[in-house]
Amino acid sequence: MIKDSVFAALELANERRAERRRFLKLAGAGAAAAGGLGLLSACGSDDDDDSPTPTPTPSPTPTPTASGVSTDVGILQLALNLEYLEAQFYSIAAFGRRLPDASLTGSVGTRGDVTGGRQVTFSDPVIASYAREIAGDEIAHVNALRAVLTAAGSTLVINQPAINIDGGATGAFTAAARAAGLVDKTSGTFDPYENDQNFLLAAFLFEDVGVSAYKGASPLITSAAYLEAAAGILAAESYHAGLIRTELFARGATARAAANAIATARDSLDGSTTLDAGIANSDGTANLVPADTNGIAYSRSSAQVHNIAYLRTTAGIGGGFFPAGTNNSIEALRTSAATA
Amino acid sequence: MSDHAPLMETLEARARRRESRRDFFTHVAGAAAIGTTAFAASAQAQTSPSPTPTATFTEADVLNFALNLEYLEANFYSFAATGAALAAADTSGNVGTAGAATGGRAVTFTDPLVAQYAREIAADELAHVRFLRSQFSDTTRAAQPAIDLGVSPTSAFSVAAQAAKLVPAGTSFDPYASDENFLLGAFIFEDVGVTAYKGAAPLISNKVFVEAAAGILAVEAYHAAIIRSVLYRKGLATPSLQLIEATTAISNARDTLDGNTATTDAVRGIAAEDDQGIASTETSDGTVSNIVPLNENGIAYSRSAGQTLNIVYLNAAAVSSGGFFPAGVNGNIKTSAASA
Repeated sequence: MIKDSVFAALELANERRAERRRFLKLAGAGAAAAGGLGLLSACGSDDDDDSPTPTPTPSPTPTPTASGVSTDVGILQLALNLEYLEAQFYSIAAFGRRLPDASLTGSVGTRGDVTGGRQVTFSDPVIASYAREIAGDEIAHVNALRAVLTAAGSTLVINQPAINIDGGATGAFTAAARAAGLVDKTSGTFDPYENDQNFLLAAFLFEDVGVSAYKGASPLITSAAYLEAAAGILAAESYHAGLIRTELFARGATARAAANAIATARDSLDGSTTLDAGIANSDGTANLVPADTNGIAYSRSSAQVHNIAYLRTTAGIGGGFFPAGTNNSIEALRTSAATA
Repeated sequence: MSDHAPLMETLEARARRRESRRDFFTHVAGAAAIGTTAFAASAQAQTSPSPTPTATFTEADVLNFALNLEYLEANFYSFAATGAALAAADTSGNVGTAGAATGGRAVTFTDPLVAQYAREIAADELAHVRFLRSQFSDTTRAAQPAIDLGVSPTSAFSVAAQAAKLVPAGTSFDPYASDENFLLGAFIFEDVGVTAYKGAAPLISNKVFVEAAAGILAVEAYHAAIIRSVLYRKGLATPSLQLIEATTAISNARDTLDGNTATTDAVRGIAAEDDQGIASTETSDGTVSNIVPLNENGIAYSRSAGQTLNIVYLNAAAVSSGGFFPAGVNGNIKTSAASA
């Protein structure tokens, strides 16, 4: 590491950045901020009536990508796909109901339905209260991202894609659990709605991925306002992940082994680099925070996030939790990587 | 310590000041403190089409500020987990006045899980110190300032606890005396770290550092979730300990110290009420926990550097030392906001 420069880049981070530059080039992306402060004043719903009225900054003309939208918008759309998935899972598990139609329709991509899911009958009322809290947060993320995208342009909100959160033999959770070896690799089923622990393990499957996705996207965001909002959602997902990991660890050996197996499966789906960590170290001690030797959480590229969401190690669109793929104005932000 | 009286005073004025919030906005708009003014200016600059920041403070200043906060956290957890402060090799620097971290000691943990969590968090915070230090040369790196981690009735922890009414006025709060006290001591810091990194996110233009800061932000949020969820479980298990009530009181104290913000923005996560304890709420769907402190958009809050310093200095006024940093933090960002 070069120490004579304050901003000497970490070698690994630079490598990853270079990878991303290539990725964006493929996507035909030119960086552009969508209207900064004007947008914020439009969607800051909690404004005090008497607070100073911000003077709208003239919107910069975005440099269009091949698809006609900025990278920032593509990243917000990517995030909204993941939030649709999380929000539907938690809402159905906690409340037994899906998100209302008004929170799911948009202008980009094909509108899909949710397959599977049912309300969990929790044994532990505390875990039930956690499920409700996280469900509320994820629903808020869906609505906030939709509002931000709407403010950025009237036709930029993506439709909810088809989502599979079924707990049966053909469900995405079962496929993930078979891959992780939680159940028999050919005939086992994994039902996240069956009991408290299965619910926690299913939540675990998603949460750290959300963290790494938002973190991986952070340096690609041009608008400072979007960056601050994304950092706030990143924080929320990290709190969720920390909560789920703490609960699982406290449950003992079986839960720890299962969570570790899921982390290993995620890490193998997204390629050979270590981007994940289980909740227990090999000596049995707690590892509630998945971080590198610098104490920094991991990043995943959009493609790597899709490897996990699609449960595939090949490049392509669709599979796993999103049978028809995610929706995005930028085609490359729907695609998984060849990681096998 | 003359800084204590203003804290108690502002706490008692909390309700009154909330009522006069609108009045406050009109005043603060014209007379913001140095820190917040500079940050607001640079944030606006970065949302404009030109990416060139016009910040009063450099990115090196922001990173040195973060390093001061990490010195504080790392020493607290190091004392609690091992009985020792950070080693000299981890605290040197030519910027500012070097000081010692004093007054801490090892916690004799009762709950082996809490002991493990303390060790894990201690390791993470030390890694953060070392990572941030590695980005500087000796001449540009902030030295560790004097840090008060003691337990006397006039120590920073005791003053904070007195303000939150966890202990009677003039008496000692010892975060090393029990598992519960340790968790409450940790609670005082963790959410603050999250909001501080988040508030700084849009001020950093170097993309490598945006990503690294996002990764530290995530880790602080994982930590905060561990502390909050363990406190919640222990609070429910033994209501007489009043742990849940204590988090609300500490949160209120922080919220009072950091004042109101000149702007409110629900997308960026900027609000006058920017802190929450872990007390649950009752809804028609049942009890909903509050492990994650978020706004109505599910977005974590931001604090400016000045607001963060209000909390660690335990002073709502614009000052350059006090509380946990008796001689102030080292670096160019050192003055708290005028939040009283």
